Amino acid sequence: MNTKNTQHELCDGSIPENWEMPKLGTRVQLIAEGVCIDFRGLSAPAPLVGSLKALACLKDNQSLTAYYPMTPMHLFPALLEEGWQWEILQEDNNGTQIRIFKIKAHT
Amino acid sequence: MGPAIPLGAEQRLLPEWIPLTFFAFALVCLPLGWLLLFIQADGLNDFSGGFGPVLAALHMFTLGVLMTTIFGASMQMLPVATASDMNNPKAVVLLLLIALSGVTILLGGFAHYFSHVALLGASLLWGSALIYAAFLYRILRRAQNMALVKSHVFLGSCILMIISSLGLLMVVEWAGLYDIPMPHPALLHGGLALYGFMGLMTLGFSRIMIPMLAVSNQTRDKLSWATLAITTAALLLWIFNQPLFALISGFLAAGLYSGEMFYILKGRMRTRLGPEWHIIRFAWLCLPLSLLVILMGYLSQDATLFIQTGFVIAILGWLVSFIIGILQRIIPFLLSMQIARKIGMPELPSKLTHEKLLKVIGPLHMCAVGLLCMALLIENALIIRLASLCGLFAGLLFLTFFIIALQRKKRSLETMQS
Ligand code: HEM
Repeated sequence: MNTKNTQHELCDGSIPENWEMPKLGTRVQLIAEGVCIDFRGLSAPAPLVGSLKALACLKDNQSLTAYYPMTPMHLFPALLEEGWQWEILQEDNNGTQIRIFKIKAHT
Repeated sequence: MGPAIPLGAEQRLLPEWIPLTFFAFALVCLPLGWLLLFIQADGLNDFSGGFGPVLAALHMFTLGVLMTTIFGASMQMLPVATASDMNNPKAVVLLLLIALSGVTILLGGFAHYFSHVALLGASLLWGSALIYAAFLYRILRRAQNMALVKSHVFLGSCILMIISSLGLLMVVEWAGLYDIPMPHPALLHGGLALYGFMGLMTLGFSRIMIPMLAVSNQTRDKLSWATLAITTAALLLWIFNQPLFALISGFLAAGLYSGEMFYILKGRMRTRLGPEWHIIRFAWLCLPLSLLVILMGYLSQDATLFIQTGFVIAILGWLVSFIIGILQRIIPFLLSMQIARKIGMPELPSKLTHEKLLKVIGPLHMCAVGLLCMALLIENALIIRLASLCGLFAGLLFLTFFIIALQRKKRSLETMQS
């Protein structure tokens, strides 16, 4: 997915056709609140890059729910820099589940 | 909402102070290396190998800056990237102590012509290379899906063992204890150290760092495998004393690597890139340039001059520049994560970054490299001094950037906790 053509392209409930992240393939699912991606089993940089790219496709009221192999400590500063808020939904030996959303939409 | 990150999350990560100590050591060695060059400007012009302060200055950069940064970055990054358990922090601290004392002792021995002191330093460094290789093996064994990075790092650490053994043997020979039965051990060691050990590590880590920093998934795995295969062939040709073929294939591999890096950058999501990217791009250009200059050396009458200049471009233009660029981004991130692990919320990395300093450090360093190469080619000690001053200033500013980031982290922690 190239930003030059997706930067202003919001996710209307479906992943854009030019989504070019083959590694994610079937790992992306559409859910009521937005998009859900399972990054478990993927190595760096796919979880970080995939998350930021997916977030760039969301509408303001949508959120990304993602599963990571472990708490993605490297992602948090990057989220903060781009104005995203997050909540950790679950954290155990199977990985960490996190919901990421725009601060504006929830305050 | 409570703390956004559970306190104590990811205990599997290495405490940040450990990689930061490796980086701090590297950042102290950077201006010291330039200072040594300033003092040794006349010696550098006449340098054609051998022990003494010029060799100490060279290794202040290669061991002090490059190797210690790679050690710190590997210990921090590989467990995260491979999602495997980190190495025991106490064992990593042992590596830190052995490596840093080894570098300091070796450089002291080189600079003051104390062969037995250098022997102790070289032995410690050989030991640290062994521990490092064992750590990498332990981490990489469990990583299942990072074949590309794994292959680069694995090969790189094998070559580190070869070059540190060769370095140790050269020091043993200098101490009069053994004669190495080969014609140019220094050249073999230098080439393998720069393009084998450092080169493969840089190529491997770039595959994680560059897409992450630029937020781009535009990578080409097949191209990367081809680059690795050609690089390995080039290194084998260098080992088997076929310098011309080695340099030509090395140049091809360097072109492919730099090409892929620019391609990744082109597919980035971040439209605005920070000042660190100027120096990173400069580094990518210096890699093939260094090989071209060394190649010219083999084709011309004055091999020593060109080979020396090529090595300088590789060390200062490619590797040190790349590390300066990457650390400019990584240091604030690591400090932000350190805050997050303490209080459950990270600080904005940009708040820990002194942007104005960054705008000066890169251009000054690039200017120093350009001037130094010119000075070497026209054999002018005065310009070497001028270049060293620019480099020294850039190095000191980078150290200042690091200290300011630490102070800002401390202040942020206090504010966020109160
Ligand atoms: C691990 C411990 C190391 C030791 C004990 C060591 C020792 C030496 C010695 C004894 C020389 C040759 C001096 C001469 O006779 O001209 C040398 C040259 C050199 N070393 Fe190292 N070295 C080490 C690591 C490194 C590393 C990590 C790098 C680069 C990343 C490096 C890069 C070079 C270069 C470029 C030369 C110059 C080769 C030439 O003049 O042709 N060394 N080193």
